[in-house]
Formats: sequence, structure tokens, C-alpha cells
Amino acid sequence: MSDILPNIIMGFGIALTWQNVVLCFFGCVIGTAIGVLPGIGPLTTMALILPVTFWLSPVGALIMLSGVFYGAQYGGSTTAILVKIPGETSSVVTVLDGYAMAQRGRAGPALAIAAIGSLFAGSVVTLLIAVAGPALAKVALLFQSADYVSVMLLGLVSAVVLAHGSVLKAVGMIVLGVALGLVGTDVSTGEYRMTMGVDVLFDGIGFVPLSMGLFGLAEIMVNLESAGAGEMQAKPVSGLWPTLADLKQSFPAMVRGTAVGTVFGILPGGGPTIAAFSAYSLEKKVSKSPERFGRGAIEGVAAPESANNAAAQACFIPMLSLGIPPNALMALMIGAMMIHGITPGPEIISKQPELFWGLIASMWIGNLMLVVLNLPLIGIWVKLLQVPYGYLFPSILVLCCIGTYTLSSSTGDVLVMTAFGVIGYAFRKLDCEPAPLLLGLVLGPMLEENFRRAMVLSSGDWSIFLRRPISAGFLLLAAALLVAVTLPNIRRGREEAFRE
Amino acid sequence: MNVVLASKDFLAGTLYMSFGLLGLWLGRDLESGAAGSMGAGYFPRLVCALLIAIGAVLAMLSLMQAGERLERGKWRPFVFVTLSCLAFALLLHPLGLVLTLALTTVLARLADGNVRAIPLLLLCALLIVINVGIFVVGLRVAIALWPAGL
Repeated sequence: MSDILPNIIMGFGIALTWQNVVLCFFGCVIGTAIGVLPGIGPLTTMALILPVTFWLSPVGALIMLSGVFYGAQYGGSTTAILVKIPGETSSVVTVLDGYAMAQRGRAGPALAIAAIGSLFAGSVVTLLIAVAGPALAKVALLFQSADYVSVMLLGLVSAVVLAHGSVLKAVGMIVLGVALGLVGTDVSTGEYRMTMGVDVLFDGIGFVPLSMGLFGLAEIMVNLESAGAGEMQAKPVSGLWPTLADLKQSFPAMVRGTAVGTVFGILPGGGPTIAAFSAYSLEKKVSKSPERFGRGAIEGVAAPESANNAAAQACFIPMLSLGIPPNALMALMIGAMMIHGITPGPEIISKQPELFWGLIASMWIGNLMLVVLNLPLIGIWVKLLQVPYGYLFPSILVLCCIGTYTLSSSTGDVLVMTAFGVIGYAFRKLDCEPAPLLLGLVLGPMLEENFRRAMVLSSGDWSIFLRRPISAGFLLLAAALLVAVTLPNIRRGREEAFRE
Repeated sequence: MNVVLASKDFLAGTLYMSFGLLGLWLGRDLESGAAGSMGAGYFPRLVCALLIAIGAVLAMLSLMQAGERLERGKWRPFVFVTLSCLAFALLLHPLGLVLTLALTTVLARLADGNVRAIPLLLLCALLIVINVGIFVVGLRVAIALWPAGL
């Protein structure tokens, strides 16, 4: 405990170097911009700038990428409140009460509460990462291969439970991701596997070409099909400051939202979207006057906006302390680390403290920057909505191509990206959510390696997974989750949670 | 199309099964080994078999209950986005970055109807300047700007 303070001071020393401040600022600006723009999510954007981060220091790369991620949570609420268009799926519920407030001329306080709630959640969770991260990493050092296999299985199961739509389809996408992750050179024997003799695939299916194709290209194709969204007019914002009564009313909602967001952020398969939905429904349940919700209740803005930012940051906890990504976005962060030659795992905090503490300190700085970026400069962001998609998408497409190419100077990677664009389009058409696939892709090789090692240690005895108490505990949890999702009333609740 | 064959779940199940079969076939020469000393083929076979099983269950369930049907897509965005990326991959080395970027942009813009010449030219010029600026001048990526021999 006592060593947290010096560590945090060291972290600020790293995060406050001018390069890292600039990178954090860029990340937040890009994040806010794509948060405002509907149709481009943080996942696509992070995949897009991944090649650029190749030239940065590892800490700088992670600082910038995380800035994009939590910046998008701030930006997404702006358009939700002002023009009834959620910039991100995690701001869908904010539309309900946020837009209602805007229509009553209270857009300013709604925006301010959203930003204050996000800042509050961001600060609380950053502190939590600083405390819980190293503690969890210490526990994780006790893990053996069998335990890792089970915790990853638990993660995959819970990703399925929390995914949209059909459970079976989500399981299929994860398994497909695991299978795709196995393409390339086998680490243990050095044999080429399922490469079709194509040399770009010898090192495996690249993380960047796959995610650019699956998210970037497929998204463009689908967006162009649903006819262009015309120009949007937002009412001018006047009177930014919330009243004392507003603050009093929304503070408990922020606390509850932060708590809900933290839980859903840490849960494997969770993330900002489901956190926001859950926080909103919780708020409605505990409220003494639930009939105000949907008509401009300020708690209806405060709770989900705190929750989505809390979740966006809380999902760094399992990623940084266990090296296991809880969702596709963190899988992307792991991908970024591996590009820089960092092996994710519990050793990161002790062996590369500057990475961990620098990143945490930058989150505080980033959250502060975002409040400044979002409140006084709101007009600029709303103007962004007037950029027609017809000019935006060719720019994204060109960036996908050139970004993928520069990563390893290979046009073969661009072809892989194109192929995954086509496959991704098919997935969208068939309602197969692509995010679990990305999770499978990253976890696949880790899963195989640990599975193999566990089986060697037990000389082929499968019961090893049940004999180790840690592993058995995780498996039991996973089984309980699977049973729970098939129970009719929980299933109904899950469907309700995803309905808008 | 037949009602069953057009159901999204049936098609998704078939897609999963095809990927699983493709994986098994591509990895047909890999050695399985035993659980205690796994060969390169053990885990891939396990995963592919699981994928086929999931696909089969999904497809079978879709035969029993009528699910959502596949909506018609538009060919235009799909074809031109794909073409535009293919053009980039295949033309970059013979043509150099500047001409390739122009062609990629034009093809991409065609994915959306209602294209006007002047804004398109401006967009091409803008994207060339920005991307050459970031990647070639800024990050010093070694890409030829013009066709070889010029």
C-alpha cells in the first residue's frame, strides 16, 4: 500500500514529459472526434492508428491509444444530448434523458453533468487501478498453466453471455477467432499451420489487417448501404453550469453509475455499452419518481455517462494485471503491446513499472483534458457532424490501406485486410457480432500454449483442470454462467438489457 | 430464394462449418500426438471440430424455427470498397504511392452514388498531401512515390 504514492509520483513524472502530454492530448482529441461522429467507433479508430503508434515509445503508444478509448466515451455523449444521435453505442441510453433535457433548453447542464460524471468516474477508477492492479498481479503470479486456461475459458464464456443477440452465434465467433489465431508458425514445433503456403501468413494472421478489414472496411460497406445521414442542426448551447440542485440530484447517481461501470468493466466480455445500460436501469429502479425518466431526469444522464467511462477504464485492470483482455478493445491494446515486443502478463507491473504507472497517471491527465476539450469547445465538435460521410469514408479507407501497408511494408497484408473486409461484411449481414472474434484471436495462441503446458505437466490427464483449486473455481463460475444464461427469466432480462 | 436457405442463422451455421472444414483440410498433414505430448495438429483439430459442431447445431436449430431472413444488400458499396483496396494492394508497387492513392480514392468514392468531378479531385489532392505528409515525410516510411523508371 505504502509504495503506491511514490509510484504514482513516478508515473506522473513519465506522463508529464512533453512527448507523452502531447500524445495524450492527440489521443483525447481523436477520441472525442470519433466519439462525436456516428459510424466510427473506438475499435476501428484504435486499429487505424495502431500502425502509427509503431513509431512511438511503448508508453507513448499505450497512452495515446487509451486516450482514444476513453475520449470516445466523452464525445459520444455530446451528440447524444444535442442532436439525439449517439456517437457511440455506449451513449445510446444517454439519448433518452439527455435529449429531453436539451429540448427543454437545459442542454448545457446535461453536457456539464455528463462531463463531470465522466471525470468523477475516471478519477475513482484510476485510483482503483493503482490499488487493485498490483494486488491482483501478485495473486496472478500464483497461477499455473491450468489456471490460465480456466480463467481464459471463463472470460470467453462471460464474453458470450454479455454479447448481443444469439448466444450460439457468439460462441461460434469466438471459436472461429481462436482457430484464426492458430494460423501461422506453431511456437512449439516450428511447423507452419494452415497457411496455404502463403508467406504473409507464416507469422500468423496479422492483428492489424484483420481488425481493419473486419471493423474498418465492413463498417464502411454497411454504413453506405443505409442511406447517408443528412445534415444535422443543433440548438445553440447556452448556460453551461448546472445548478446546485442538479449536482445534489446527480451525485448519488454518479456514485452508483461508477460502481456499476467498474463491475461491468472488469467482468470479461463487459464494457462501456452494457455498463451504461445497466446503470440506467438501476437508476430507474432505485428512483423515487421513475416516471421522470425519459423526460429529462438528470440522473438518467449522470448514471450512464459515469458508468461508461468507469467501465472504459476498469477494463484495463484485468488487461494490465493478468495480461488477459476482457473485451475486444483491450485485445487491441494487447496487440499494440505485442507490436512493441512487450509480453502481457502479471510481470508487467513489477518489471516495467514505468509503463503501468505512466499509463495510469496519463489517464488522470487525459480525463482533465477531456473536460476542457468538451465543455468550452463544444461548438467545434458539433460542427464536425457537418462533414459529409461521402468525404469521410474514402479518407478512412485510404488510411486503412496505407496504415496496414506501413506496418510491415507488405502489400500482402493489404490483401489479407481486403479479404477480412469481405468476410466482415458477410458477418454483419448475418448478424454475427465480430468483436468476440477479435477476443478469440488474441486469446487463441495463449490458450493453446497454456493448455499444452498444463497437459504436459499432468502427462495427459484432463482432471488437472479440476484438481487445482484455482482452476476448478474458475471452471465452476464459467459453468454457472452458462447455466444461468439458459434459464428463461435471466434470458429475458438479458434481452431487455440490450433493447433500446 | 428458399425460405430456409435465406435464414440468417442457417447461413451463419453453414459459414462456421465451412471455416471448420477448411481448417481441418488445411491442417490435414499436421501431427496430432497424444494429450500428454501434443503435436502441432492437436489443438487446431479440437478447435475446428468444435466450430463445426457449433455451426451444425446453429443450422439445425434454424431449420426448426423460422428465423430472421437475410435482407438484400446493395452491390455498389461492397464491390467498390473491395475493388479500391485491391487496387491499392496490387498497384502500389508498379505505380508508386501518388497515383495509387488517387486511384484508390476515386474507386472508393464510387462506392457512394452521386459523384461530382471537382470535389472528387480536391479530395484526391487532399488525401495525397495528407498521407504523403504523414507517412513519407513525417514517419519516413520507404514507399516509392512515382512509378519505377521515372
